[in-house]
Amino acid sequence: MEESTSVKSINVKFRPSNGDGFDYSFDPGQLTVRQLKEELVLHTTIPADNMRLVYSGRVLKDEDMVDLYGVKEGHTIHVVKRADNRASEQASNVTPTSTGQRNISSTTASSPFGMNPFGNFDPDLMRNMMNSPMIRHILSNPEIVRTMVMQNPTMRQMIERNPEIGHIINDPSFIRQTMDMARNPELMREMMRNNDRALANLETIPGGFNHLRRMYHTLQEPLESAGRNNDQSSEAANRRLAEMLNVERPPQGRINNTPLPNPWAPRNNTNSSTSSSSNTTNLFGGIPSFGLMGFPPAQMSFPSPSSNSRISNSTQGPNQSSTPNSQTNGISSATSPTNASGNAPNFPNVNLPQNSPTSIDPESIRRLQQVMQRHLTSSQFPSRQQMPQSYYPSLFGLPNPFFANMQQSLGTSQTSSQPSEPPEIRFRVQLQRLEEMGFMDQAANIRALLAAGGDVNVAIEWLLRNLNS
Amino acid sequence: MAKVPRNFKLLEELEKGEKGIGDGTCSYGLSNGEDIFMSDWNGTIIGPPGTIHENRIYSLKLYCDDNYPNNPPIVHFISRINLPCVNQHSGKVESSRLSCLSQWKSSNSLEDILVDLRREMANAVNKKLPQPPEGSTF
Repeated sequence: MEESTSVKSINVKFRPSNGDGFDYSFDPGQLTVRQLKEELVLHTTIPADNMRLVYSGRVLKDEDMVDLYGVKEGHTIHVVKRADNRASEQASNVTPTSTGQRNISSTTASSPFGMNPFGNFDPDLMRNMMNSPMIRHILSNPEIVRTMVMQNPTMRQMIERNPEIGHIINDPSFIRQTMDMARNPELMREMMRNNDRALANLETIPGGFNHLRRMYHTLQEPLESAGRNNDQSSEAANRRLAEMLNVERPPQGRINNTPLPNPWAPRNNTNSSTSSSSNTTNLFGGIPSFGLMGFPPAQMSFPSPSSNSRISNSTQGPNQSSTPNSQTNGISSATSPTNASGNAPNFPNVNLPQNSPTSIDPESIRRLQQVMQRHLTSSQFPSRQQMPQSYYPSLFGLPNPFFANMQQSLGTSQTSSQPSEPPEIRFRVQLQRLEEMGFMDQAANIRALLAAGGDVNVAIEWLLRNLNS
Repeated sequence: MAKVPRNFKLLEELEKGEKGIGDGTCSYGLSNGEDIFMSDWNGTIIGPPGTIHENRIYSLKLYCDDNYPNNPPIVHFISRINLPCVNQHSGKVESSRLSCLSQWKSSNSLEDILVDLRREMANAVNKKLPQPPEGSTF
């Protein structure tokens, strides 16, 4: 480190097997491998005991001096984590956790900021867990929390790409505050209310609206787009939003007479049936410090098994009318929704693709059916269904209110349309193909396939784009 | 196509290995830095994630004879591993059973072999094969 004291200090690149590399200067004649590892702890999330260093085809032994291996200026040492610790490393997103105590705790510990975690969890369970002494202890230590955040590849990427976010997790008091809030619903509600009021007041001040808009543009938007890891262009973002809203591409060569989707339509109904749960969803409304880190909900969690089974039970439900058979041209768009709405009173005025049978692909039909089914089931089983991932989705990853509302009212959580199997099983065939093509990083492959909705070609495109960037 | 002399090619590969140019999943270098013939090499493969090999490091020995790169190197696993292309008694990688060795081209490199072996580990057929405890050697 100190160039002044050791003249023979060299600069070496370190390359962890997951995550980005870093440079570190040291004097190989003065350090044993063990000492080097201990110094490296500051730069990686791997503890010295679990760290292995590989250079030039050899695993470095703890007791040897580093210069024994002939490491020279500019060379690269690989950093590999030892196997014992894998549970905590990957429990959060790759493995579907089993029921073991250890697993549960590691999931909780490693993913409060993660993509998935509590979609299937009862809020009470969650609260109890947050209050358990062990978790409390873990979360009260900002350093651990920080490490956990950095272990999540998405978060890390986001922070690397936007250094200005980095200070958030580097600020212990912020983390502690966040944790306190997550633990205490009352406090959280209070914060939300204050914030809502502040924003409302701001809006009434002359020029306040402009200020709000500026806030959105400078903070919320970049953060959201940072949360999606392959946001290449606004076009891609638009497409994603359109997908989320179930907007179809307007029919080509014809006047687009399809009504715009109305994401707010069914809110009233669901509200009345499930006041408690919608309340909790609203908790998160409009607090930038939380919405800040908001991932779009679609990215956030796996579907709860319960909702899936219901969906599959009702696959043969009364929604057959949504298949595009009766209408032949694009004029009578309103009729089929009304057919369906006999069974699904809450169904929103989302534009249905029936009116343009020529331009529908089976995929959109399927999704539409799922939307309807979900809506049906959600009106039948309101309390569980209406508790979307937004309640305790992840302490940092709270969805922003707009998405939360939209998701709730549309009843179209994309997550719910996924089968309950974990992605590596669901995409087994595609993964194998990707591996055959030489994409060896399974985690990246899974991410790509998830992003591509299982389409291998799109996934490859995604992978290549991410490799290049 | 111009033929690259053995030592030029090996020197190039050595530099690549030491600087860690490549995908970062394999590492290789000379067993003995003073060896001017650059025949004996060490290699390591970092087990591919999502397989039984995850977080393991496999050590190998590679021997490049005088006819390298016209002849493929001879590859031995030092770490014990259960793979169809690896002889379970000697640890030798059977060149007939690894595509990279059986279809060797002089433009191939040591890294190609390691990457190919790693791919073999991640292969759907092999990735769940029971493995001997880490640290055992041939």
